[in-house]
Amino acid sequence: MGRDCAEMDDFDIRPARDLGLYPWERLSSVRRESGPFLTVVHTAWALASRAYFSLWHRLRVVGQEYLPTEPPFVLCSNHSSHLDALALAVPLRVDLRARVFALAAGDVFFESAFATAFAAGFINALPVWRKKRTPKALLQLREKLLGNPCGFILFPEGARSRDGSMLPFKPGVGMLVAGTNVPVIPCHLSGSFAAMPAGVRLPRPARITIRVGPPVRFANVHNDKSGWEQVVRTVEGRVRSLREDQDRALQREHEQP
Amino acid sequence: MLPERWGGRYHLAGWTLGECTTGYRSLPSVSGTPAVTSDARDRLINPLVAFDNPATPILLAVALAPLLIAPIVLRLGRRSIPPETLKDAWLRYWGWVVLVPVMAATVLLGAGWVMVGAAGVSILCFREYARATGLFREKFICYLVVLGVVIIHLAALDNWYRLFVASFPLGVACIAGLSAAQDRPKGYIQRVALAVVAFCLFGSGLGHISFLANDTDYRPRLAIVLIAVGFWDVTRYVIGKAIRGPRLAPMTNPDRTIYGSVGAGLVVIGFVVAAGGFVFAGTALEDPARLAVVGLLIAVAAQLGDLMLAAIKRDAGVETLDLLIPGHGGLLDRFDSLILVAPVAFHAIYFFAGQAVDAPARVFTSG
Repeated sequence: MGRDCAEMDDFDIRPARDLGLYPWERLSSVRRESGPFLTVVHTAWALASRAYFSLWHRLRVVGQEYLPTEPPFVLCSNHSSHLDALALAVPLRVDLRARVFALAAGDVFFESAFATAFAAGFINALPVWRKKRTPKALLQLREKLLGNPCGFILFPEGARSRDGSMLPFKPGVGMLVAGTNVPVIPCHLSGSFAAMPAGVRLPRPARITIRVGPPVRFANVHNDKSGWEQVVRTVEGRVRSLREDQDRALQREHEQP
Repeated sequence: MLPERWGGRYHLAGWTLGECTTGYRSLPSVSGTPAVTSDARDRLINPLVAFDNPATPILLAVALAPLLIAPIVLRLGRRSIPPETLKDAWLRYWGWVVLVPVMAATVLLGAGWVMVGAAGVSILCFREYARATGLFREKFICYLVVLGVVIIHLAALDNWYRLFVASFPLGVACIAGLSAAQDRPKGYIQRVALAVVAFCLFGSGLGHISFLANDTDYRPRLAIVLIAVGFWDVTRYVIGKAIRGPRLAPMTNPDRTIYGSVGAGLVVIGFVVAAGGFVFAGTALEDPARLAVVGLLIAVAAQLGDLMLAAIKRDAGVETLDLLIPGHGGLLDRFDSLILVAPVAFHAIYFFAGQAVDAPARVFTSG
């Protein structure tokens, strides 16, 4: 509980950043901050999803020691299933959940009132509008990441892979972290495509494995186009390397009698 | 949950209540479980007795009448009222159109609903306060405050005055002590002070609305307080806009004028004296002079409550606390006056007329 409020050690009267918005606007706003009620919902959801992934998908985490314990941070992973954001949040500490946001497609998760309430209330998702994505929107996310230390779960491919292969990464992650000391933690998810690929409504009981790599920082990278490209290349390389590790591990498992 | 007049044996939340007769006779408990008298049950959840007191329908008409008169006045005066004021007045009117029937229905349905409603308002007001001050980031302290608020309203529901009184010092002790146990001395005074003020205002203060509903004749008593606060707010607004005059506290809220405050106070005193004669007939409070004192206390508390919220908002640097009620802002914007009026009115009525003198104490917990 103390760690959860670490940013408040020197207490200043600081209103909620999403003050002045209508309740329904607040849910889909980047300025959203979870209060006591939403924190209870996030925590209950975290415990429920932890039980679900353990029992139904026999979730395995390799490299747990690299997972962050304090915000700010960005978890970057490949993306092939709607389960991905949920799975990546599972190994994180439960008391962090109110401050860890999954960046989700606005046109999918924030289209209706029900979807918005679910995405914001349970998953703690923030919308990224793919058709009207602007540098300003990413700047707001960057300010949130730095000004109100929090964690982002993000999929730099920008869309779910339709065949399980990795798509090229987009430069958005670079715009978030270039020139900052925010650690980017590369992750690779395997098994989620088999469990729930695009078009499947109910997840199958396939095993999901998360491989976590050591964090990378980009404090010395310029916050410009070349810097963003550098960030993306590095992160994509790390995730692909984790994928190769996973492939080798699977091969070894198959070779063993 | 059959009312007594329908006869038979009663069950409430799994408790067998036994055969009931009139009066406040405590019923024998069954298998050691507490007994709830039929009168207590009627008071808590039976809307069929809502108009037993003849003052209740009169006060209901008084509460609803402005909703019918206001649109006529606004339409007639639309040429003389500045467009911005007119727009604001209409927004406020539509807010009242929702609020007045909801509050009236809650009071009429039964004391139990009043207490549930007051608890909900307390928690929602605390939420707005916590979001404005940043206290909402201190989740643990917020849970303590909410727990304290719930206990206070449960004590009111049980008509357990000693627990109701004890909840405040014990709640403060819990907030101060358990916050210290977090081992984060930096910012401790600020966090705890904000939480204690919140608990005092939204727990203990608004909790008096719940406890006021423990009186046998709670409906007209509660109605006179709620209508007085509503009248104060509307007349303060109308007089302040129409006459203006010197400002009351320009640094805190430049919109508030001395004329508006005094005018609203006179209206409230007049209303309390006029309506109180019916509501408190047969008690020491039917005396107009005493009613005028109660009216004056309500008017002063309402004004101070209004300034208090304005001071909180100015200090936090926020314009509005929420956008829940169009024209009003958040719930706290609407109930700010009531926060201070509730304890003042409760103790004034208690002092002059007695409070819940014939209602059984510890409705649920007496074994």
